[in-house]
Amino acid sequence: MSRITTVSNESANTEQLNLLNAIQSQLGMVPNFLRVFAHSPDALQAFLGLHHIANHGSLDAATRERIALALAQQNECEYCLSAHTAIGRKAGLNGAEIEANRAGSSQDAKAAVAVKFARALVEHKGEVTNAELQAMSDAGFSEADIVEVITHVGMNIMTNILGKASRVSIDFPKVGLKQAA
Amino acid sequence: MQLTDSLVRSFPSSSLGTQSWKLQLPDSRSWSFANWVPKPELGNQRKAAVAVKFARALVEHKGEVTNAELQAMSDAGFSEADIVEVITHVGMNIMTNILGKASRVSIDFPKVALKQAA
Repeated sequence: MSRITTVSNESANTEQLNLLNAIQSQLGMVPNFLRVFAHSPDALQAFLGLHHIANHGSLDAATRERIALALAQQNECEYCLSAHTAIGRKAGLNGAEIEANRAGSSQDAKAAVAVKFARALVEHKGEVTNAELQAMSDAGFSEADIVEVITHVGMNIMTNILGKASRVSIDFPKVGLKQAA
Repeated sequence: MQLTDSLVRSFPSSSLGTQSWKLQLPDSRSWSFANWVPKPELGNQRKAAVAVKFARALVEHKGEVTNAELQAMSDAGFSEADIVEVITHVGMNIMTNILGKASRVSIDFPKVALKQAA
């Protein structure tokens, strides 16, 4: 049972319904967490503005999902883990790679650096070492890429917090937080 | 102060408005939530204190707030839209906190050190 309710199409006002319809036509569904955001059309629009980076940024789709999986596990958000397991598979991640991402790494050497950097940003609240920044540069990530990883981390922390505070019902195939040994 | 006000106003208006975020702490160096007894005319400040406390709990527990913490927001008069906006502000601020620290960007505001009054 969600602790913050979801806005249904029936209960939505005109402004909310317009946003929900726009999401429906773009994603083919309106995930429950966006129906929580919809309580505040301003908050929903702020999130969608931020989410623009997920479709237009310089990082490839697979690495964006790797970061989302790594953070969902790190921040223990089951909703987010379930959602990004489904979306990650669509982005081409297989089961072993998803396990690696949840453990804070990747089978891809370059992506592993980005995933580790994202986890370090969360663990140290941004206080990363010069060596960690250098590792990103050495792996071939530009300053734009680094800023995008920071933005992805911020966006994912926001949805991790929303998912846990609201305990929104999981509308993706459920994936438990327990990791393979 | 003027600069801060204009920055606050430069953000789009929302149901929270700007007032609840301009928390004015009582002029006491030993202020804490635990010992603060609000005066009746401080109603708005008391309400803001609930939001600030909720925001800090969201960060500390990575969103895993208690039912009582959610109830306190509701009791203070915050709607579900307000709660969602607090969560959004928290996410946005975490993002800029992380960016500021990871980049060590030069401070182009009057510098305020992190050390708090004892």
